[in-house]
Amino acid sequence: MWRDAWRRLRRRRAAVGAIWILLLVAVLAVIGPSISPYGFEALDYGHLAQAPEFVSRHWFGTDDLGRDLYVRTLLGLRISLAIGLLATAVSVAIGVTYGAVAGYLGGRVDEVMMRAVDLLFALPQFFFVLLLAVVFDQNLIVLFLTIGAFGWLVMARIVRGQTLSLKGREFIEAAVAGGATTTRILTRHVVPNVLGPVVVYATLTIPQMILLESLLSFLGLGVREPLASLGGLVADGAAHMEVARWMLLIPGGFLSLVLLAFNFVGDGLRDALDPREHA
Amino acid sequence: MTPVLHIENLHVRFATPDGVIEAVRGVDFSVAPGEFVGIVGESGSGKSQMLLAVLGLLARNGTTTGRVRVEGVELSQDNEDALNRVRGARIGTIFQDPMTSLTPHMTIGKQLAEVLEVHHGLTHAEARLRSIAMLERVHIGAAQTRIDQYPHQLSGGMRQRVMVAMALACGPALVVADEPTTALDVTIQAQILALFRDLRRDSQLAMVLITHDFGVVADVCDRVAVMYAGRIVEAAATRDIFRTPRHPYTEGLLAAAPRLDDEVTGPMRTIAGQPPSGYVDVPGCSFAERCPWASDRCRRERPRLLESGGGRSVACHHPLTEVRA
Amino acid sequence: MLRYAATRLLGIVPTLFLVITAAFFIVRLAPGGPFDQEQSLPPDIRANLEAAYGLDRPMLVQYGRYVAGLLRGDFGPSFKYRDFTVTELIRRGLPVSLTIGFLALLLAVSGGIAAGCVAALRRRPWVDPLVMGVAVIGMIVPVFVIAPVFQLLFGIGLGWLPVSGWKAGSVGDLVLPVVTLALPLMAYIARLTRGSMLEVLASNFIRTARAKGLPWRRVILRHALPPALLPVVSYLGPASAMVLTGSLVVEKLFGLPGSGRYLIEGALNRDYTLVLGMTVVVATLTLTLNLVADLIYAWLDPRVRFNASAPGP
Repeated sequence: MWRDAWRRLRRRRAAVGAIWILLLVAVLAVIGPSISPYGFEALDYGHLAQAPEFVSRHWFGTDDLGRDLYVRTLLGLRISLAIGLLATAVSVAIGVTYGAVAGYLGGRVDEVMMRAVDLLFALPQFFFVLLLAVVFDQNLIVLFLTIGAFGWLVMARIVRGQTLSLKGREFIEAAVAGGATTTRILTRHVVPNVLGPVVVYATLTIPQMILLESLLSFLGLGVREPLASLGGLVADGAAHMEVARWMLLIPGGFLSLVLLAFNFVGDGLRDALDPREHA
Repeated sequence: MTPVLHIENLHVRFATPDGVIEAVRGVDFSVAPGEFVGIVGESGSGKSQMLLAVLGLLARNGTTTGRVRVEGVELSQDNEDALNRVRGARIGTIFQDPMTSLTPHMTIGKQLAEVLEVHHGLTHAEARLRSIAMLERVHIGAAQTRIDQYPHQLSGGMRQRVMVAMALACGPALVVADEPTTALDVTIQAQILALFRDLRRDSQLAMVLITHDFGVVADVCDRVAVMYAGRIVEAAATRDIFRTPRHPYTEGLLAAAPRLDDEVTGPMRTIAGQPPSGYVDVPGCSFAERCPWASDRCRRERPRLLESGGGRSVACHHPLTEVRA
Repeated sequence: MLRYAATRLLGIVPTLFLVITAAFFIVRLAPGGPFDQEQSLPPDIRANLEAAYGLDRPMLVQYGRYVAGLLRGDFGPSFKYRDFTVTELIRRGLPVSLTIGFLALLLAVSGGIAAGCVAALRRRPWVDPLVMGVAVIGMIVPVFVIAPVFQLLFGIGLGWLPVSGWKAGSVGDLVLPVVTLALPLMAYIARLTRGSMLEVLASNFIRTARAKGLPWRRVILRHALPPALLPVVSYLGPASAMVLTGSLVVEKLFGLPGSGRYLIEGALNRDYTLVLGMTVVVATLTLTLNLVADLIYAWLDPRVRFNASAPGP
């Protein structure tokens, strides 16, 4: 199943291109900043709000305070990606567990658990995240957890659906007949088989998490100074776009690129794993 | 007399990523006014595609070549307006699956009335009256109430009758029915066929009935054309075809249908093999590889549809001559 | 139909209650109080302040008083804007936000449906990829990137539209904010409509409609569109939530005096009651809009209403 999916995925040029872009971006985020001679806080008074140029090694230009944009953008990229990946990891962990348990146990337990999900779903997520960000004073850990906390809902629903259809299959019955405990069945049999849709949805969740965090940072309620994620950089850029449009366009461009790339890959994966797609 | 429908050298092709499929390979076909013709063939023989091509309802990747004339007037595939003037008004259509062929969110009254409003310019009130009359004509009881109901409130048989009513509403010269009874159970099937027999008494109406079931044809049609692999292989009056099928394929089809007076012992007769793929056209007779009487000539040279008198035609190098029991 | 509406309406109440309770306790149980950020207050003055705001009472009492206040339409006093109650602040900003939000929703729905239909009909081979390509970008690139870019392009670069500000009754001021706010939604709706339309256009009843000789316009408007729009209607609920979220950014960027701006400033200033009040308002709006969307759905699809009808003989 996986090899087939891989083959189908490779056919879609948009998805393949997107994967390359993401790899490139990841490399940049990790080693990029070390190439530049500048630090992310260093103020270069000789080059305030300077457009990108090669000579001064300010390849992306500087901001209004003289800070090098290349380093800041790549570091912002690092932060945004980290938050996105971590928050997704949290939501996957919670979502898969919750969904598998609900789907497998079925009956009343399932009903109650899914009602809870429905209820949480109806809440205006963003505002609660806002509330929590405010209340806990933009604590980074809390930020991770709250952003991830809303992402698990859809994942739980998907996993539950998959689990329900798996329940009827023979190998589950065989495992039960063989005396396996519920936990063992869940971990050894259920989870590996729901991995497909989970991977797809996880790939699509990452950009959602990045977006949520960027939005908060843009509004000033996310990652705090002097650290800056891409959202915060875009906010700076928007404020100064009349004099230094690269401050807006470069971080904005990177952010858009990352979001688009993840979405293309996710869509490609979803089509590739869809059993209805035949050669 | 001008035929109600005249098809000349019709080819229907579909462009797919794996190549070109030719569903209809050069068919000539005519329907006289008041005539009930059946087209019989298995799935993939091209019979439905032929109908869709005439109506201009092919899928986007389909192309039609050849000439189509309705009541003597040439009908071009590209002229959407001309097609719309013919569809519904001069040619009524009944499709196979009544469960999905009616618009679920519109009352049947509205669906019936719109044909009348669009083609004959009737007002809402006039159209409604006519619609009730049509429903009664197809034997739907309590038409006054039914007319405001939604399709899902009607049974399969009733929905198919609504389809018939819609096809007849504008008084067309020709009604085409594509497997109208296949999706229905036997008792309902009988009712619909009775309805068709009823319509036959109207000398103005012609019908083309597409089916894979010879029983349906025997009940309702004056004439039958048998299609195989995109071509007509035999055509004759219904009685003639049943008594003396000339083409081996026709004979095979008739023999394969179980009869009440068949002996119960032994396996049922089938036609061995599979119909040819739509992608490839063999040089000789398409049926040769499945035909018990095929000769070398059959495999080399394609037999053409030749008339043999008495309104019969057959495309075979060695047509059968025996009379069936 | 009415019965359906009434049941759904009743269903909102417990959810709303849950939201209010959850929000309230999150705010109150947080570390620190609303006066922590003040320049050092002498403890007795702080105690007085807290008493004045009722913060010295037990938690449940505070909760009870808050809910009672809500039922009277009183959201409590603002902690930062000392002279105003939260109710007043909300009332100031809401009309602006609602106007922009409503217009954006309208634009998104009409534009999105039209674009989706155009893409699904594919009169020319390049139409579909073009519309969908633009849609993808509109959907994924964040509002706060698109908005400044538009400002740069249309405001500063081309000078066609005002970049920010709000003069009562000025249409020009509305254009960019509404368009920016509508864009991601319009894109998503376009995709939904296109997919749904394609499916519907392939169904048997459309084939029947065409075989009846009905002109395309009629086939699409009366036969294809109503079922095709069902997913869009379902989406209206989450869509309104998106609009509410987006309006925060848009109001900030375009300098609009809407409630979003108060919310952000309240958040930055740790004005708990303001943030709490806004959350409650937003939740109510979201739930109401969801309800409206569900009702429209039921109206469009008779099968949802006629659950018990059995087919006749």
